[in-house]
Amino acid sequence: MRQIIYLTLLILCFSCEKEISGIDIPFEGQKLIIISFFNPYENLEVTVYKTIAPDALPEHTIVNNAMVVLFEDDKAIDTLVFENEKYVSKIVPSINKNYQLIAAATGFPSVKSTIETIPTKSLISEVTQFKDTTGVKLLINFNNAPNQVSYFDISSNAYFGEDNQINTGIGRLERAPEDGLNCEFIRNNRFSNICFKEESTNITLEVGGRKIIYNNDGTVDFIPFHKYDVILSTISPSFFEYFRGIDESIESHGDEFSETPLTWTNIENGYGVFAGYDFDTFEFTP
Amino acid sequence: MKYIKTIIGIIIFSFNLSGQSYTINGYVLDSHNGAPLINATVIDAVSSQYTLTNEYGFYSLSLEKGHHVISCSYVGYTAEEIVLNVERNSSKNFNLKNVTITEVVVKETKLGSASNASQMSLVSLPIEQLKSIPVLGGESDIIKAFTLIPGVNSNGEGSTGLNVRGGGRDQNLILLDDAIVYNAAHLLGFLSVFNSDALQHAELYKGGFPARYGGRLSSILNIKMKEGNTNEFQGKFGLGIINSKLTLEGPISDKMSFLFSARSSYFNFFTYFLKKSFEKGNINSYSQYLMYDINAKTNYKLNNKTKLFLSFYTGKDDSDTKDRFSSLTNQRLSGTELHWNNVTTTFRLNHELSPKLFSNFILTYSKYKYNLSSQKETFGIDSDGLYSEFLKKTTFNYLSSIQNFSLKVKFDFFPNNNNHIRFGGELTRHEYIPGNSSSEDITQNQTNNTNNIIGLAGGNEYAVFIEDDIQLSKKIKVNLGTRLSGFSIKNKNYFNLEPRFSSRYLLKEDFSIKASYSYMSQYLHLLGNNSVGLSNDLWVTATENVPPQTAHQFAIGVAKEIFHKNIEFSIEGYYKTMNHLIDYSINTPDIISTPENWEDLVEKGGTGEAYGMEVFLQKKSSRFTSFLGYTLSWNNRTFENINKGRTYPFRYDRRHDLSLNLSYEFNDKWSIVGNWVFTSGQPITLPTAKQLIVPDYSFEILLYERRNNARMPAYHRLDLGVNRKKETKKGNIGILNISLYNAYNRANPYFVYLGINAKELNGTLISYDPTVYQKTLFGIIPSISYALEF
Repeated sequence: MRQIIYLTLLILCFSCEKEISGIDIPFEGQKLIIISFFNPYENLEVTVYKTIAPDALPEHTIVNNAMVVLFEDDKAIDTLVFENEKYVSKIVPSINKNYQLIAAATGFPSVKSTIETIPTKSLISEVTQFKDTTGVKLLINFNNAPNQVSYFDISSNAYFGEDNQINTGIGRLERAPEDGLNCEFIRNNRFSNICFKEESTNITLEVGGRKIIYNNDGTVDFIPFHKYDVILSTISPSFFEYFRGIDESIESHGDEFSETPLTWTNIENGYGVFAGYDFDTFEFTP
Repeated sequence: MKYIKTIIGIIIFSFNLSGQSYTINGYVLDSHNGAPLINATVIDAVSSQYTLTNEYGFYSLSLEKGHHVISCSYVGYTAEEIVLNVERNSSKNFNLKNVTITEVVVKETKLGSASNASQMSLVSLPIEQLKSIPVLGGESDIIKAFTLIPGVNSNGEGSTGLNVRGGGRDQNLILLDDAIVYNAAHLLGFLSVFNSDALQHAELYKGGFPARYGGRLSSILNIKMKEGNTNEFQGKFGLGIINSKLTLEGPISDKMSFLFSARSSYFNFFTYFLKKSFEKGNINSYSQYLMYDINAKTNYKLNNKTKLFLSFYTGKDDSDTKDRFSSLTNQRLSGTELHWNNVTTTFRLNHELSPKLFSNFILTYSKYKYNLSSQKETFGIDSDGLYSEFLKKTTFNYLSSIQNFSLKVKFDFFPNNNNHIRFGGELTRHEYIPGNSSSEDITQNQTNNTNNIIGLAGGNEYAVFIEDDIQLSKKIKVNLGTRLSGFSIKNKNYFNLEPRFSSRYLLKEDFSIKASYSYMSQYLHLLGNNSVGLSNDLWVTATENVPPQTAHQFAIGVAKEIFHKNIEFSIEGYYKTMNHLIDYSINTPDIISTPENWEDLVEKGGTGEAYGMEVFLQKKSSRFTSFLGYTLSWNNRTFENINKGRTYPFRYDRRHDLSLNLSYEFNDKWSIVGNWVFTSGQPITLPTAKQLIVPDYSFEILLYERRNNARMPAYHRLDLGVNRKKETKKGNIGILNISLYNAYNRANPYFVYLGINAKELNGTLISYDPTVYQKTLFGIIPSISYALEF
């Protein structure tokens, strides 16, 4: 990376830049985008959007005339109903069952998701708080499913004052990943248990420990957090890959020498994601 | 087995075509400097029996007892003719006189004539003629010259990488006096490591590979250094805008001669004062760059049958950048140093074991080393206010290297005038360090050291080969051969039997049809940025998990001299498939941080397909010469986990590639030359759609459906050059070269990227729209250089 920066500097010295009008940005026609994350506690919901040309002006992209059918273990079990900009199923997904979506709308190619399941959730066993030179942190222990790669999403809601709540927390590994581990940690809160090499199940959340309020008179108030809800979601591989794909795409911008990754999706003939997850909540009072 | 039996049968059949004879043998040399002339023709005018010199200028001709008129000829030299009464085996050396050096700029190899050779897809480039081709900065560059040939593309502007018939830049075997050159780039790729003043000859095989060559899939670039003038002392001094150079050569005794050539860039002298000024605090940044290389060679004639050669090359690039940044609370000092270094050494012994058997024992050593280091020091008050004062210091060092030791034994056997058999073997020990890194972080009272030291890894590559250049009849000539190569690493052994075949059928004296097939294997892989000639090339060998690359190539073509033999015309079609390729699936992974994991960071098992047609037209006359090369080609790759498993155009896919070279010599003093090149745009990946609402993100994202689904604008450029030769009062020759690179200032794309334009309506931001921008590296660049030959 250093060298690319170095080379870029060199190129900047010698080169000139211009906008090209001769290259058409290819648009393959509008396609459906399916967004659905489902869990075993709520009715399954799907949002259906449409793609637009890369250089098109923003418009309302929610598709409201689609037919969305939910399959459970290869059998169609529900046609979802459009309400409040979403397609809602009367089904609450079950653990250990296979789900698939098929959607069609006039003017778009029909789309089909891969078959997805809800992963077995890991449970938080203990949360402790500690403080170091960089601030207040929560050390979270959880049960790591052995002999398989599991994916997680960690977050916390912190409470301050009487009824105030804030989402806080920057996830960090307790220690550097072992050499040779292809450990991925995206957007500070999603990771796989490869990071731990099945030896440790500790992760830290940097939570700050207090809410900083800047007053109009120039003074600053520090209100300590008195309670945290720590949420550990066990997410499916598709859930993880979707967000990793978006991150890679964003990171590739600005690096002209690297290949641009294709957009990850598990929706055939379209874009988006259909993925299951389960979660465990741990209430912690410092 | 059946294949080997067929080869043996053909060889035995061809042996029987000739009767008992005596042999005359010897060398064909340049009378001026004693340099061997490769592929010179030695012919008996009476019987029309002929032979060609090998790559060391050695020939062996079988003749019946009696009187013969022996003629020796070579393009650009006065032919020599002798009458010889053959009664026994005898030796005869020919010393041919050079008559012109501007007759041909680039020529297809001449084995008797272009249409006569069984070899196809071979381009021979006389170094002297290379110097008239206008190039960037006025510095002749052999790699750049080869990119004018059909079937050969450069990696892009400012790059010394070659892509030959759809191959990657790692698929070229670059040999300097039989030693491998791993990274041929100086100045971040703007100049190659080959100093043209030190070179004698270069040839590039694009296909139809003879069995004596192997180890790469797509090309063999065989470069020979001068051996040192054996007759008189001579020198050359050159001044250009990029570098200066000095070459000295001459006899040490009647048995020994030498060559020494060195060149160095100027940038560091100009920037020395910037560095001093930075150290005094007068300026806040500086950059330094030093490039140099040294070629040296000596040879010793032990006796009439034995010669020893020792050649050496070293070249290095050093860059150093420092930057100082000051704010109210912080002062930051950062710097990056980059060094890379090629070394090759060759020891060669040529010995005539008999008049018909020439032997060649070669020991080579090659090394490429890359070193990156960076430092960052910060003093002051941290912005988060946690420390009142602090000192942070971070240093990082990274080193990767590859080296090999090689022993080659080669024999040239001339059993009769219809067979030229080459056989031999090679053993190469490859050793490499994927990357050793160390870092140190110092913060206040704490020091953290991280060392990631990986030991040498390596494997042994070996090969035996046999090939025979057979004149089956006046019309049919074939080169049949096979190469058995292998590679051992840890507990894994790979073997490849590589059949090679090329043939020529002569329809008329100046009109032939040629066909070839070759199977190649490659036991080295290159990790590194695929797009630019960065020096962080990381060579690794095949491993237990990453098998060697292999390729099949078929080619067919015709060669003919037209318009009263004033124009040579050739057309070739080729089809090549490649297996076990590797590539990066996404962004170039951080190989530097975890080089030991490189096997997990690449996509394996890729396949490639390349096919196309190459046309080459060349006009020769005493004053006006020209050539036109055109390539129509397709070049695709398929990986299971790239582009969703679909085939996509390779980065170096170029549908059309055209080169036109014209040169005219007004008189003995003045000449002009011009090049025009045109290449279709490089494939790039652009988004196919946009998603406005993305969960967890507050902005829209672009959607990418296919790799390399669009193309950059086409590349075209005109270069012009004027040469003026003048004899000084002391009898030395001064050559002034003035050239214009990119004469009509075409803004060619170096790379393109997607920028985001904010769109507003009535002062309100309504959208971010992607727009394609391009970076152009070089506009019009005039240059001047002067060389003095003494």
